[in-house]
Amino acid sequence: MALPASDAFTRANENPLATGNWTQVPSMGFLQLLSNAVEVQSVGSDGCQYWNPDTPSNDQKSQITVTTLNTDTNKCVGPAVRCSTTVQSFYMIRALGPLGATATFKLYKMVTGTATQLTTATKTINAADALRLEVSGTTLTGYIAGVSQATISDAALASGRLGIFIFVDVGVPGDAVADNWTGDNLSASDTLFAQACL
Amino acid sequence: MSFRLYIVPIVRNTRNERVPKYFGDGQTTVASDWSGMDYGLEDWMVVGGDLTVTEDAAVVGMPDAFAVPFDLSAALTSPQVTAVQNKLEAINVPAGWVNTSLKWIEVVRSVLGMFTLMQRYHGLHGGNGVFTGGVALSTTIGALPVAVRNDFTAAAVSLGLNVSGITGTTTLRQALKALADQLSQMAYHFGTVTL
Repeated sequence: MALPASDAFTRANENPLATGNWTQVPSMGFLQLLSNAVEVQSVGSDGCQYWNPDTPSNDQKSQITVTTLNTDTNKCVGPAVRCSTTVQSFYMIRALGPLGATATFKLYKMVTGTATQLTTATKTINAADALRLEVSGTTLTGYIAGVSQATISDAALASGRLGIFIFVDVGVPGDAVADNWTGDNLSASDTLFAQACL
Repeated sequence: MSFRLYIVPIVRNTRNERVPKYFGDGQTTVASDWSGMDYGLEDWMVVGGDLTVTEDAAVVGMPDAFAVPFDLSAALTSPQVTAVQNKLEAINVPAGWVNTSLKWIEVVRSVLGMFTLMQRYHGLHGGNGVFTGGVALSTTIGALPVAVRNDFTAAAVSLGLNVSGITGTTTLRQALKALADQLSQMAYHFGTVTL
């Protein structure tokens, strides 16, 4: 396959999510495909899988659509970038409910198993909103529905794959559900657009 | 109010994740939006945000927090030089170079350059931070454990930095500053603010 890549998850259930196309980030939990959408395989396990067929350039973008995000600070969905294939490392957006005007938008990095929060903001996130994470050099920009929300600097991870991150600490896996993933290299126009938004 | 930078410790939240003290989950003094840059795996972070008057006063009043002045275009006063040197040196950030001829933005950018280098080191090395097992700012590059020395150099190279001036007798203090100086043109982003 070649980038851009996409997965609409419109097919029979898979548990775990499509091994072959989707691979578990080392030491992370699995995701599953259920009812044509993706969610964590089990409560209490942080799921992160990367798109296996394509190796993107270091400057890349990953996008996922929020389907369900029930009220709780312990449930989130988001795209991931620069996912390592060998160690537990990646950058991620964490969108936390409740959906609506008081949702929480966070950027995190996971570096060899250590998670660090890099930003947090109260934002409006609605069902069917696309969450996109772009990384260019040491600049990460998070988007909701195509609108830049926060840009941060971090140099920990230089390369990696495109992925999806979901966790549900309490409740049921269906409390945080996503759909319609896309991933691609970052184009020159993306970078220019991001700079113009600053 | 206005955007301001703070240096605060990193603590662990209930999920055992690193979050800036007074800003992160479970330690919340600040409800306003914020963004931060950590000093690699060393447990300190430069956090930027436009806090409320009450939130700002609360963080400023914390004995382990350091608030950078709002106006980054001003030169440091002598008492400010002493204060920032004491804070930075206490958290293993070289600061002997800070003086009254510098503006705050210049000091901040140099410090963020060192943070950037240490972030890349963490990404390459994983495991522990640099300042463990007796390693201090006065430790020479040659005296570092081999894996630390190799990954420190690799971190600098991967950021495109020139390491030709870094030798076995160079101290970490010297190396961090010299390498960070090469990042002086880098843009540093804190949410909606770019320095």
